[in-house]
Amino acid sequence: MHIPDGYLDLTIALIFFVLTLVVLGYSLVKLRHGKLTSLFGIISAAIFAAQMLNWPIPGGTSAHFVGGSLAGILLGPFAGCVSMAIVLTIQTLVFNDGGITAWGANVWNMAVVNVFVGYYVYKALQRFGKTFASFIAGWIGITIAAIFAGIELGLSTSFAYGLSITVPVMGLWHAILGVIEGVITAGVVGYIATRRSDLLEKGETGKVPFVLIGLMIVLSPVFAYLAEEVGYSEPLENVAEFLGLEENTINPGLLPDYTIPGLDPYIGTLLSGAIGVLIVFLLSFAVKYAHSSRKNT
Amino acid sequence: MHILLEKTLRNASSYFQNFFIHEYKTRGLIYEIDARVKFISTIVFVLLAVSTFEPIKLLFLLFSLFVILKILGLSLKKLFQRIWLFTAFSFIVVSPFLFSNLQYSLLFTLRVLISLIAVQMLVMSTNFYDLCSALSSLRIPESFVHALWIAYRYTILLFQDIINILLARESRRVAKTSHREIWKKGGEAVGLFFLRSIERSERLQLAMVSRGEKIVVQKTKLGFLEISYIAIVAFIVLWWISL
Amino acid sequence: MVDFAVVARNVSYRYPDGSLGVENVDLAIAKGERVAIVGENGSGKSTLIFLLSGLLKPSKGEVKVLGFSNKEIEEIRRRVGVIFQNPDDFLFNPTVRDELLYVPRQLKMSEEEMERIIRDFSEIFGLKDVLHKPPFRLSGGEKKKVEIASVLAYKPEIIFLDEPTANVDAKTRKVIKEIIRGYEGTVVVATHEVDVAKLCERVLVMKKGRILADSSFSSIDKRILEEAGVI
Repeated sequence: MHIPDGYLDLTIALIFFVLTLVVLGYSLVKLRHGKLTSLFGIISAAIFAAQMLNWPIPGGTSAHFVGGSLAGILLGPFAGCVSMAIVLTIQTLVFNDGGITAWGANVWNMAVVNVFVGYYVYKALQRFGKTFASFIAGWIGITIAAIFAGIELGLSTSFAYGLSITVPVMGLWHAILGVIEGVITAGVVGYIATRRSDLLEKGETGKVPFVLIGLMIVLSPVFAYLAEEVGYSEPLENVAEFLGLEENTINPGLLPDYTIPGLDPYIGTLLSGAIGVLIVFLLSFAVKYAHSSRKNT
Repeated sequence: MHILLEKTLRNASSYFQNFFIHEYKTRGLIYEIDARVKFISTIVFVLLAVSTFEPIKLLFLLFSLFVILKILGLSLKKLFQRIWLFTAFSFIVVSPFLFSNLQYSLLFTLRVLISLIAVQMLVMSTNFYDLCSALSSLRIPESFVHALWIAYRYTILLFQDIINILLARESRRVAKTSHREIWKKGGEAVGLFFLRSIERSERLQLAMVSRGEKIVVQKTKLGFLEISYIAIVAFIVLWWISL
Repeated sequence: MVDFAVVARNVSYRYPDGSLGVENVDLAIAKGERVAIVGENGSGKSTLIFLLSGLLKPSKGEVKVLGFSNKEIEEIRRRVGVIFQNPDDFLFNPTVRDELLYVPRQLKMSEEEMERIIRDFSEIFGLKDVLHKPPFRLSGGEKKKVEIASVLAYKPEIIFLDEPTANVDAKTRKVIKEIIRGYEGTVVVATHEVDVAKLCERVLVMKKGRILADSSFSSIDKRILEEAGVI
C-alpha cells in the first residue's frame, strides 16, 4: 500500500504532510513524559520483523501482515501511530519502499487512519469478545487505509486513473487481503489476552483529541479534493515567475532566451537541456578533481 | 507452516541486503558528502521530478543525475539492479494508456524513475546512523529519531527471535494444516513474539536510563565538497526552472 | 546395509542477513547412533541441528531424513523431536498437560494412550503437581523438563537436543544425561560441555560453520578440540 513518488500531485502530498505532522507531532508531545523511546523502537522493530513474514494464501502466493490495528490495540492509538510512523520512515529511507514526497500520505494512511480506526473499532466491539473485536479491527483498519490510498491516487491528476477505478480496486483488494490481517491480529491479541491481559487495558485518553483526530480523518479526503480544485500548479515555476527569473538570462550571451536563433524553439530547448547537462558534467568533474588534489596536498 | 518459514527466509535475504548496502567497498565521493546535504538534495531532486510533466525538464534532470552519480562514484549497475523492477511495475500500471496517450505513459514512468534514482543516491551511500544524525540536526524531534535508530538496530535481532519461535512451532506440527490453521497458529506465535518484545523493551528502557544513550548530532561545518555539491544542485534547480 | 537416520550431502546454509551458518557439510547418521556436535557459540551447531532435523531448508545441497523427501514433511515431523535451547520459544499451550498432549492430539491417539502418556511422563519427570499450571509460570528447570517430556511423549525415532544442559539445575542435568545415554532411537546433541559429549560414541567438532573432525571423542586430536574452543 506504499505510494511511491510520482503518483501523487504535490498539492495532495502537501495536505497529507501537514495533517500527518499535526497528528504525529501531537502524539509525540503527548507521550514525551513516558520515556517511551525504547518501547517505540522495539515495537517498531517487532512490527517490522512481523511484516517480513510471507503468509501463504490459497493460490500459491503470499500476503503480508501490516500491523496498524495491532499497534493501536497494543499500545493505544497515539503510541501506535508513532510506532507505525517509525516503521514507514525506515521503509522509505532504507528500502525506498514508499516515496519521500508521498511520506505524508503513506503515514496518514497506515499510521494514522489504520491505527485510529483499528483502535476505535476494537474499543467499540470489545464487549463481544477480544478475539472477535480484534479480527474486525484488523480487517476494517486496513481496508479503510487502502480506501484512503485509493482516494489520494484517484484525486491526483498525475495518476491518470480516477476515483471510480482507484477506490474500488484498492478497497476490494484489501478487503480480501484484510481477512488475513484480521485473523493474525486476532491471533496475536488472543494470545496476549491469555498471558498479559493488562497490556490490553489501555486507559481512555481525552475525548477531545480523539474526536478531533476522528474528524480530521473523516474530512481529509475533502481537504484533498479542495486542494485539487485549487489547481495543480508547479510551485517552482511560480517561484521563478516571482523572482523574475524567466526574464533574466543566467548564461549571458550564449543562449539568449534559451533558443538558438534560427532554430525551432523545441529543438532550442532540447539543446539548452543538453548544454545544461554538459555544464553539470564539467562542474562535477571539476569538483572531483579539486577535491582529490586538495586531499593530496 | 514450513512454507511460511521457507518463503520468509528466502525473501528476507534481499530485504536485509538493504541494511548493508552502504557498505559497498567502492570508493566514491558520494560517500563522503555530509548526510544532511544529501538528504536535502534528494528531496529537492524528487520535488523537481514530480512537479512537472515536461519532457525536456525531466530528461535534463535524468541525465544530470546520471552524470553526478557517475562522477561521484555510485555504481550505476547496482543502482539499476535495485530500481528496474519498480520502474517496470510503474510502466505496467499505466500501460492501458499506452495507445491513447503514449506521452503520459512514458513521462509518468520517467518521473518515477528519476525519483527512485534520487532516493537511492541517499540510501545507497549513507549509513543509517549518519542519516539519523542528519535528521536530528534538521530539527526532527529527538525522541522520534532515537526510536528510529533503535528500531533499525533491533530489527535483525527480533527477526531472528520470531524465526526461532516459528521453528519451534513448526517442529511440533505433525499433521497437514489448512491455510486457516497456519494463520491462526502463526498469529498466536506472533503474539508470543510481541509479548516478548514488549518485555524486552521494558528491560532496554532501564538499561538506557542507566547508560544515558543519545544520538550524536553532527556539528561539523560543511566543507569544500559539500559547498560545491550544493552549488551544483542549485545550478540544476535554476537551469530546470528556466527550461 | 546400514539404515540411515539422516543423510546430508554438500549442505550449506546462509542466514538472511548474509552471515554464514554452515558450509559444505557431508555426513550420514545411522539409526541408533549417538552423536555429539561440539564447538563454541556461533560455530553453527544450532543451525546444523535445524538442517539435520528437516526444519530449515539448506541454501545448497540436500538433507534426507529417514529416507523421506521434502514433500512428506509431516512424516518427518512425527518421527523427529527437537528440544530447543530456550523452552520459552517452545512452550505455548495453556497448561503443562496440554503441552504433553499437543502432538499426541494431532496424531489422533486414543484416550487411553494419552492418559498413559500423562501418567508415565509426569512420573518420570516429576510433573504431577504442575500438570494444570501454565508453562510460563514454571521455573527454568521445570520448563526444560516439560519441554523434553513433550517431545519424548510421541516417541520420535530421532531426537535432537540443542544445548540441553544450559541453565538447568543438577537434578535436571542428571535426567538429561540419562536420556542421552539411554534413549531408544537416534540421538544428536549439540553441546559445548565435554562430559555431555562423552556420552556419545561419535563427535563432530565444528568451527565457523565447518566440521573439523568426525570420530569418537578419544580419537580426536586434542589440538582440534582446542582450536574449536571445546577444551
